[in-house]
Amino acid sequence: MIRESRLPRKALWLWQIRLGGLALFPITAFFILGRISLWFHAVGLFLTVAALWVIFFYLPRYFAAFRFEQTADRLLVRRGVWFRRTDLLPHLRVVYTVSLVSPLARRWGLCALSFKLVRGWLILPEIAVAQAEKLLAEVRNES
Amino acid sequence: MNHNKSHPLTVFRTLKPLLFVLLVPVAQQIFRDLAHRTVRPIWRTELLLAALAIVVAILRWRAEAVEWDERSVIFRRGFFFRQTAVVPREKLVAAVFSQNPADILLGAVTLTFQTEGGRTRRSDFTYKLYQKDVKTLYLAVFGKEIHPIIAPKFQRCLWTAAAESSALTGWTVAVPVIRRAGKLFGVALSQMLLWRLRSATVRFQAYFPRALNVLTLLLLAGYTVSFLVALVRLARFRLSQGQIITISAGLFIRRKVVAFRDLVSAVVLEQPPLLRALRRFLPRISAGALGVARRETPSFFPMDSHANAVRQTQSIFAFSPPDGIFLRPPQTRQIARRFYRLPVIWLAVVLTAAVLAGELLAFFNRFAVFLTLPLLVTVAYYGHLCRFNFRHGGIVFGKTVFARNSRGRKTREWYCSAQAVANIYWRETPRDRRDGTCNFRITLNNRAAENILVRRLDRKILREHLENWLHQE
Repeated sequence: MIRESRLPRKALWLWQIRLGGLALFPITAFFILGRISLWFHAVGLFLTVAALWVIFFYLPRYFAAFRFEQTADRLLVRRGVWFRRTDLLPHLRVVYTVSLVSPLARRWGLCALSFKLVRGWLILPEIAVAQAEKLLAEVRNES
Repeated sequence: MNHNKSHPLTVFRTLKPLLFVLLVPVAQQIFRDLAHRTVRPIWRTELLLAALAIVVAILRWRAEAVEWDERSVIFRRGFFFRQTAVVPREKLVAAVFSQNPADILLGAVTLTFQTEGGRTRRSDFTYKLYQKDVKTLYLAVFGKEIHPIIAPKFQRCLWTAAAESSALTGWTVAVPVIRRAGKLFGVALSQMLLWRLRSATVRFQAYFPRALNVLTLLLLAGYTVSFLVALVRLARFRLSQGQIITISAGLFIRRKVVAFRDLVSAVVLEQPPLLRALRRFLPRISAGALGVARRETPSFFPMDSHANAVRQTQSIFAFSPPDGIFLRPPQTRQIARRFYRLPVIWLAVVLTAAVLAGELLAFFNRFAVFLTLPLLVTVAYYGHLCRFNFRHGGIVFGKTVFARNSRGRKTREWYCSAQAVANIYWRETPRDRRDGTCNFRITLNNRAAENILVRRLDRKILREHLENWLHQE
């Protein structure tokens, strides 16, 4: 049985808050440095526009395009806006799993999963904790 | 427990990076000062540094050792920060034994072990041991099984060396040697050689500009150096096959690669441009960190015809013939246009640039013609490879995964077992989504992180076959 799932809405808010917080520091620094030269103001303005574009245009589209499908023995993860990537992960290929929870994610009942493969990682961003635990149990049973 | 210390030549291996930077200048200055019977204060610091480097190298040599018992091999190194690595025997995938002339004279062997763990594309353990100890270690790890030895004809090695050579490789080898030799002897050797080349091109000046003639000679010289190095590397090629695959070759530096047959991740049949013209293939193995992308990847047989290369691959490595449907790009005009798009664009760019250069820079007419011809040949070959990917590229899923693709200037046929496949993914551009195609890639589970890319497969059909294959596996 194939179960297709999407990320919860709160995951998008989480990404937007994180990116906004990260972008705030360099933007503020450039605007402060604007006292030295107007070019710093220009860079700060450019970064502000870029950050806003990513937060309000790109991230919602990335969120909407993100899908994952679970079957009894594999996981399929699809992501990307213009250039899409699909990873097919048989549970048997998983070496070990890692779950990641930030404070805000914990408050909203979300959890990110990371699957260690022989070569590289496959990351599943914030999903509901119950769903994450179920998926982990399935993967661990198989592998 | 068998315990073996490393050979004293390890000291020189450790000091090699400092040789021309510190040790040789210090030694030269010492001789000069002794001749004048003075030691200038400015050299005391360098002398101290050189002495310190030598002491550290000696201490490192004393601390290095390899031990083994029935279950594992233990690698020890480090004097101040001691490292001990215990590797179970079954985790050792391959080993490389090499001897340069100095090693042969002094009874040493450089030994490199590969495991499946560690950093990508780097060997795990490299030691210089005594020759007698290496023999015992070899028997302990790889056993006493005697295998029939195959020695191919010399002309095959010749063609293989010619196919693997390039001017760039020749320059990479020759330029540092010339520069270091010049520094050592205090002679501007590189300038002298360039002057010689320029003088040799005087007689052709009437036909081609001098710069072009010098460039042509440099390319030929680079290719010749690369060819000679490759030939020397392939001389005395011997292959023995069984549970252990042994490939040994080399005239001055004798190199032996030993790999457990069952732990070889993949076998690749490569075709560089020259072998493509001769309709011959070069089989290589991928095991541990010995990947196909590396220059030192062992070719387990010098070039052979396709039928023989496939037969050897299937008999030596027990890869079953691929059974299953060969998935290839949809053979439609639309998809064909996508494969040929880039070569056509490059052709247009080259021709436009040539015409513009001829019109705007009349003085460089001949230079433009000289550059345009090889560029056109390159674009034509690129177009040929794109056609190859369209007509013959594809993948078969089964017990043996078989794939055909091109990378750089070479075409490749891959044979690997289903268990060797690690990551599976595909990418779609907006145009792929419209056409229902994707660029499919699998990564092998070895340290070389080989990946196989097949372009523009039908997404739905690919997905169906993948599901069936994984289900059967």
